[in-house]
Amino acid sequence: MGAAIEVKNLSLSYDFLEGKSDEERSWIFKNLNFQVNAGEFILLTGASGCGKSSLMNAINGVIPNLKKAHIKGSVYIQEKDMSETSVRERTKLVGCVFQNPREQIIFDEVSDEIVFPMENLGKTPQKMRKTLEKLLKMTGLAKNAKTATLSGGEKQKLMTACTLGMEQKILILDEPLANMDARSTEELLELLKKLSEEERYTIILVEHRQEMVLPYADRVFSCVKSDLENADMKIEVWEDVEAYREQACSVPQENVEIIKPEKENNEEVLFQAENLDFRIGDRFLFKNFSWQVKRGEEWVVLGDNGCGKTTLFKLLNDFEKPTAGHISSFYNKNEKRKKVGYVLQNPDYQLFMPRVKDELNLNAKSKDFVAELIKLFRLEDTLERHPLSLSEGQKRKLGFACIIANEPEVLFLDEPTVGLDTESVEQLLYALALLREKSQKDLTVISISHDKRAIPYLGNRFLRLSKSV
Amino acid sequence: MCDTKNNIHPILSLICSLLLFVAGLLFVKKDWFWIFAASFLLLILLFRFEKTIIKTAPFILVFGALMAILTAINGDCFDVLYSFYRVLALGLAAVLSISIRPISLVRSFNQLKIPRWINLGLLIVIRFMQIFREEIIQIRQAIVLRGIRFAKTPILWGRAFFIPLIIRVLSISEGLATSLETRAFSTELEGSSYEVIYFEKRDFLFSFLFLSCLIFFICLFMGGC
Repeated sequence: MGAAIEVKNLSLSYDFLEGKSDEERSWIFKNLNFQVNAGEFILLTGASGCGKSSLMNAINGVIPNLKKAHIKGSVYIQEKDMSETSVRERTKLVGCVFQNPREQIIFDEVSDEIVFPMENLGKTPQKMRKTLEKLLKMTGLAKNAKTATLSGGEKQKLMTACTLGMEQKILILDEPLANMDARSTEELLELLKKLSEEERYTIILVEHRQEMVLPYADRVFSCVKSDLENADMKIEVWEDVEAYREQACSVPQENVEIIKPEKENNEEVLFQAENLDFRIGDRFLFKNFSWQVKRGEEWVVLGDNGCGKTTLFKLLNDFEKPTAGHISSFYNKNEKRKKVGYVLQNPDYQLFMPRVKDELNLNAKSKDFVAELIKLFRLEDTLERHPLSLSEGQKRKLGFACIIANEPEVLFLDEPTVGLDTESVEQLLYALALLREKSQKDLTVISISHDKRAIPYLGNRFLRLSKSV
Repeated sequence: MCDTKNNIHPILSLICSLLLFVAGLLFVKKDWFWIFAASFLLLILLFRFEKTIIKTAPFILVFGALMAILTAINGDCFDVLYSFYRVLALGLAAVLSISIRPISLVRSFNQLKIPRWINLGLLIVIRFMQIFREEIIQIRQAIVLRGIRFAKTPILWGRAFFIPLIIRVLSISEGLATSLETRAFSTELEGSSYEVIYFEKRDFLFSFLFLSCLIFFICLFMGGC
């Protein structure tokens, strides 16, 4: 049997000006060659911004059909040359789950969203009903739940369900686990493995948190720096997953300071929730919930997708009002904006200055600390660039740096490590350690994270939320 | 924002919404406009649109008042009243159209063999308005979090509002287009329907009452009242 996907001499450049010779262009990757067999489960991994998503988009046809780029070489899917094929045609063969699920949702209700691609493929209502039930059970989503009220992780599950419903035999999943809780992650990986083993589905999964995916992978494609001149990425194929695990997952985290639990006890309560109720529609996210955060405490809020972690942050920061109960804060509204830092899940909302250096200096308290952060996050070469022209990983690091440059007394971190490679996670945790040092260990940190690489370093107290009524 | 599933047949809702808007604009200067507005308000209340009315009422009142104030600068009290009435007509029509479930509209269009490129446009427009609202909320929260206040630094506030908004809108447009393409939405293929949208008894009843009212007011208008 032939390869499910075959890539031959594939080169890609975003430097697509007409009339430029190939030597003059800067390439994301050059002359890539690999093949993936039917029924294989591939983990594609590599540093943030190295070109993994570009490669996936070149395979599924989004590049160059929907996103402009200069592309050379061939992609064969089930032995058919795809060079002249539209995205729509490729969609019948390849299912894709992209990053940023929020931007892809079209309908108001979960069931409509899942059924829509099946309708487009002309499936019968009986078949659709059966598949819908199966996917709802798998994702734990409610049939009539409003898509606008879903959490980030639930949206990710929804978009994955949409793709699985289309039943293409080749699946490309670009960081589908980024916002997912541990249980959902395990369930999805088990399902994908089952599909690849029993029904010969071909799976390519892009993920930074490789230790979770490695037990399921048949091979690892590791994107590393190319030795070719003027090309950023090449692929190392690891047939032996165990050997790869030993090489990649045993790097000691020397730079990261583990939080010392023996902090001085400070009785100053900064945030207090008393008998809190919060309801979205008919569903209670919080029922009679009480909690307090004292100065200097470091909390990690854990829990399944949709249990109300981000909502809790919004309640504490006055962006939502409780249905019942009371929230009090040590800071008044004006003080909150000066002394409380909040790193959002999506950095795009917090970046708006014309240059990276302006962004960093906007509310910065000390130039030395900014310089330290620039060096730590390796932003030296980007200082004159527009913040929104950076890669997703760089934007996330910049967003984090901008907030901590203000040296807040309280820091809210909403999934700060999503989409970051291990090196970037270490940089981020080191920056947090610097801030702790600056604040004389008085810093209060409240984080949300599903990332096992970061949780032990983000806090020493854990609040586990469960799905309420 | 729809009250219940398939409240009124989506295509009927769309047509009635357009008729109501055009008729409203036409009758705005008549003494009996308020009776016209009240009649249709009662009709849509009878058909259980109350949740949508409650949600849209603040926008209609605020926008209506704003338009009235702007008109008051150069107009007399009648012009002010007509301005408010125009917004009211728009609001009444909007209640019917925003109650449509986008998927029901797509399915109805499919059943009627209406070209899918029309569906595509409608889908994107309907979804985009909702996304736009959510994005504005998010951006305003982000501005507050970075400690920027309009009163202190209006230019910086403007930057912090419009730059992320433009970037997000571009990014979402791209995301939606990719989402449609990779979910096999095609203008050439017909596809199938998960559920058939029937024209039910309540739709006939609504059509009858709606047209009766409309014809009555058209007669009144033609009769010169």
